[in-house]
Amino acid sequence: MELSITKLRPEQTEEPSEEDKEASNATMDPAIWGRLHGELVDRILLCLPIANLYSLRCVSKSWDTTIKSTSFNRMYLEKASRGPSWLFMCSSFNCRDFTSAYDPVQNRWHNFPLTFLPSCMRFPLTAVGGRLFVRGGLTNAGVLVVCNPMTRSWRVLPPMIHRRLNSLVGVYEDKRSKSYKIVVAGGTSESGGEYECTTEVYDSLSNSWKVTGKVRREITVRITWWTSKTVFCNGVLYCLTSGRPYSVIAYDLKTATWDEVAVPPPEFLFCTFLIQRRNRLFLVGGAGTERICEHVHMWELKQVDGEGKQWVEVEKMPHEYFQIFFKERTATDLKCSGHGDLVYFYKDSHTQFNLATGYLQVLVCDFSKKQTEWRWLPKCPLSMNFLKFSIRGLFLDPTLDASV
Amino acid sequence: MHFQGSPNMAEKRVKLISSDNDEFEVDEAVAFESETLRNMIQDTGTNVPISIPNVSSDILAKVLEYCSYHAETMETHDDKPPITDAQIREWDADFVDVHPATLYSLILAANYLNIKNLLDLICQAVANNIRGKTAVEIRKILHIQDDFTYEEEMEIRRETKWAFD
Repeated sequence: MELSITKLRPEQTEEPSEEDKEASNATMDPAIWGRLHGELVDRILLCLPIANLYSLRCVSKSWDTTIKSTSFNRMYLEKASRGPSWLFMCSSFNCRDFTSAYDPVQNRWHNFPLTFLPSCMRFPLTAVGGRLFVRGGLTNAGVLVVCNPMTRSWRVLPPMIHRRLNSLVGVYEDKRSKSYKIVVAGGTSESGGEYECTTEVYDSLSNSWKVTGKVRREITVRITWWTSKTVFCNGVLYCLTSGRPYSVIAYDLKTATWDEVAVPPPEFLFCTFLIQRRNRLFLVGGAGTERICEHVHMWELKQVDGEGKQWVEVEKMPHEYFQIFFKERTATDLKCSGHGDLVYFYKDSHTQFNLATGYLQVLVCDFSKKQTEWRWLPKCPLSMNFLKFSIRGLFLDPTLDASV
Repeated sequence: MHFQGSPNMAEKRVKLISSDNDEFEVDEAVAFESETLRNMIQDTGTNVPISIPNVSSDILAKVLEYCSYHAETMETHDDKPPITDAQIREWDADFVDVHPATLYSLILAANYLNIKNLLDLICQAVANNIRGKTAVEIRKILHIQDDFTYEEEMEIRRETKWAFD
């Protein structure tokens, strides 16, 4: 980095004090630190949490250039690659104006509206890596936009071949080629409200859509309105169908074919979601009798000796938290978003659950520790006054190095 | 040229001379924590004292303290339990809990001697010192001229508003 260090003051070097220990709160003397050369300043910047780093873009033009540069961002990503993704809590009906981001490393929220988007682009679809996908509302319902909230860059994607509403959407990121593919299936046609049976895939490398196969009609009927229930795991897009009995269908990017996962999920599920953790597939949701939810479980789809693949229970929400979420046992409004070692639970903003405290309450189940830990997140800054609608939790890696 | 008889690397000693002419003697394994010293030793052997003209004796003593501790953590002893990662982290945190002026000398020494882990450790400690400081404070500390116009700076502040929450 080229640093514009201007004047180097003459020697006024302060001797290190005798009491060196516990002295780390002492001030940094400009007479000394003003001489630090750019390469070392860069190394220090790489150690800063991302919010601190970005707040220093306004130090000087050269700092701004460095912090925005591709090479610096690559290094920063490499260094922080083990850090978990941020949780972006978006208003389902207006993420443009109402989005907050939770940084799990610093354990803090940032108010993060996406006001750089045109005002008609406000329905959050999904996120992968450093990119967030948004669609238009009402008159622009079929228009998809990709953006990087950090660089505030965005572009409109080419129109789908079969424009549709309420389709299933999944995005796959190829880290090596830094490209992504969007899978769209099901939904209803924009004009006639007919079920749309085609699958089409957008490839960012060719910047074009391609029809890649059909979904059986009986499945199509069950995957509308459920864009939030998809997850990519090992190059396969898994999708939970709507309504009981739930089933999981899977689209393999390589073979371009749909299949139903032969293992039926447990009976009498409530509020179910699919989660990918370390390339393994999990199902999270309430379970109980037909109308009463008794517990919230997490199951993993895994090979069981002699019995083939099964959904095996791996975790259960502790009763103290379950009671808070399910004061009414018939409640059907629990939501869950998980990525990596962190699984978050919350309810839509307008529910009594949040209104009682006046803010969006989010519980996290943390698998990164030796012993699974459950805890509440700090107070989310999303204003409840404007949030009388539902919430979507998406996962994003904060980086400037994700071009749209 | 004279070679010492022992085939055991750990018994080889290396002589180092600081900028203020103090002499230090350490195990070769300790010196090898530094890429720069490793290259020098491989070039000239351990018989010739190595002069380090830009590191003073108090700083060199600290750096060698770091190197000996970390060289030791690599060794296994039958009679002692291995040093845990948590213990190392605690030791490291204690090591960099020093006056910023000492950190400055250490960062230069670690950079010159090319001790990557020490450099990372110190950079993180400096970053912790910098954290939470405003752009104005940073400019003052690092002698950086503010070359933005008012409008340019406001534009960047608008773009990064979330980071100032």
